[in-house]
Amino acid sequence: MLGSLCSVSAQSGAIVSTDKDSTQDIQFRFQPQINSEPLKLGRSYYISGLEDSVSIEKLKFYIAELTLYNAEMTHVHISPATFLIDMEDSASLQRSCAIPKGVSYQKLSFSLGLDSAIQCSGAKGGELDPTRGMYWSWQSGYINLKLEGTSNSCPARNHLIQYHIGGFQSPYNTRQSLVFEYDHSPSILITMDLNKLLTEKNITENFQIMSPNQKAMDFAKNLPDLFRIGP
Amino acid sequence: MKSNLIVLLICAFTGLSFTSERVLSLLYPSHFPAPTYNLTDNPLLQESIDLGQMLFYDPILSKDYSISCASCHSPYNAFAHTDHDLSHGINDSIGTRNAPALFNLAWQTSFMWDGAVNHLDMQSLAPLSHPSEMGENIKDVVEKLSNTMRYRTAFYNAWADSLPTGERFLKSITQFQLTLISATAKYDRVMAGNDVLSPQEAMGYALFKDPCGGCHTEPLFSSYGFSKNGLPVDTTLDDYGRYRVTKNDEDSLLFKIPSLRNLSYTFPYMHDGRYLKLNEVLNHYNILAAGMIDDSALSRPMNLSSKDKVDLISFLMTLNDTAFVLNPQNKFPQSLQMRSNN
Repeated sequence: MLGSLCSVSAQSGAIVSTDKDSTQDIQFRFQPQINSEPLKLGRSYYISGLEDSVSIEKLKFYIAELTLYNAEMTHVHISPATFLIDMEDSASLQRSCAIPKGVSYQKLSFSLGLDSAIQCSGAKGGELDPTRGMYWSWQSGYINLKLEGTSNSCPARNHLIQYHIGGFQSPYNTRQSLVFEYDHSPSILITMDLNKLLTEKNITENFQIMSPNQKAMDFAKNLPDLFRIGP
Repeated sequence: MKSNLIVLLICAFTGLSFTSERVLSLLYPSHFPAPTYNLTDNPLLQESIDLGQMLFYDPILSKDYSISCASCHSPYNAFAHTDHDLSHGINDSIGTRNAPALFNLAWQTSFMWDGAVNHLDMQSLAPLSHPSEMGENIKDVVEKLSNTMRYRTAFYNAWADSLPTGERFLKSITQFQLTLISATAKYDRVMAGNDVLSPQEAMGYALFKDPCGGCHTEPLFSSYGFSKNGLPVDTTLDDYGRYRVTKNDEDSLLFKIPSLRNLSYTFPYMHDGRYLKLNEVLNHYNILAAGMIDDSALSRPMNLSSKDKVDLISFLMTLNDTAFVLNPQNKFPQSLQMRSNN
């Protein structure tokens, strides 16, 4: 199923052949971590910077516009698809795409969140289907990142931390672009370090963000810092 | 031959025509602009329209199976909720806004009184999920539909796949709503050259053009933009309109401009249904003091005499579309009456 979501096209508009001789598969693995361990939903982690334990119950986010750049910075969109990365669906963390062979790629970029063209053009299916729990009902727009968990430090009812980060219209366009150096590896590990988020976001005061507003913008601007290539 | 003719007649009546073997297009009079809804993203099929109509009338969409879209959008009232100032929902809940009439939605690019929804496909999510309306969520609705044989058949007919999805569900409701075209009022006959306004209606029309026609632009009788209309805030509702969406101070008290078509069926009026009679609405605009609101069209006093008001209302009555309101094609569908097939 994932394979069918990927296609290859060059910026020039020419369709790059997808036959086996001219393309190679490239693997993406998204790995959210806490305390340098792969995140497990529902497990309690002691966060030293917070001096308390946190349990993450839900983590979902949209990745779009996965793009590789060659030395001339002519970018090659390796997938026009959008990926819903969902910790409850381990298969969603692994993505495979075909890219043209024989090109020396130098940089990798993707966006965290969805662009306004997707957000303004009606009902979508697949990973963008509103049944995936990533579309607001009271106001049009996707949630770009959803993080829910609990910690005794959080004063909310049932100590519930709820970050539903979205918004695509200025001044609250929460979509973020991320760019990384790329080392030609056919297998790319993209690590998301949640410790940074849990210690820098004050969950004793800022524990509920659920609409496009300044708090969501401030939260979103910090998100690129959580991601890195490699373990 | 006979069945072809029937199909053609039905199409003329529902505002649809065939463009290829199965794909339909919207029919509208030549004095209407082109619709803004992009049908290439959601090609109209009779089977999807039928499915959308079933969904529109089925309380299965609500948490406790008690409220359908039609509960607050009745075909006999141009799909408004006549005689109710605010919308009703599950558990005897009362909402915070007047349920708007539904017609000519293919010409609109924002929805809800504050424009919070940017596409017709996504509009039904709002009442579906609101705790004071249907109190449901789309995931559970799709699950309920998947477990209902009648719907598996209807989804198969419409989408060549018996599996309901959120996208198919939303697009089907959209398709039914797109067919709700009000274009057969006396005004439309006059525009087509098939009728004439009476002298009183003609005087009302002249009064209407300025200032009313600035916001309630012909031929849809709304620009479908947003405006401040000088109504004081109802402090029991504290509704500041579009400000809730944009958080921009300049958008405080902006509400979507409603169409003036079918006014006889859609009372009470205004975003919170505060006026029961059209005369009260006219009186509100007539006594607006200069400078009370910024809008240039409304900043000048209208100074309508009693006779002017009667003339104006007589013109507004030419916007009542009885054929639309009584159209049997838009009513509760027979497919829902076969409960035992569940």
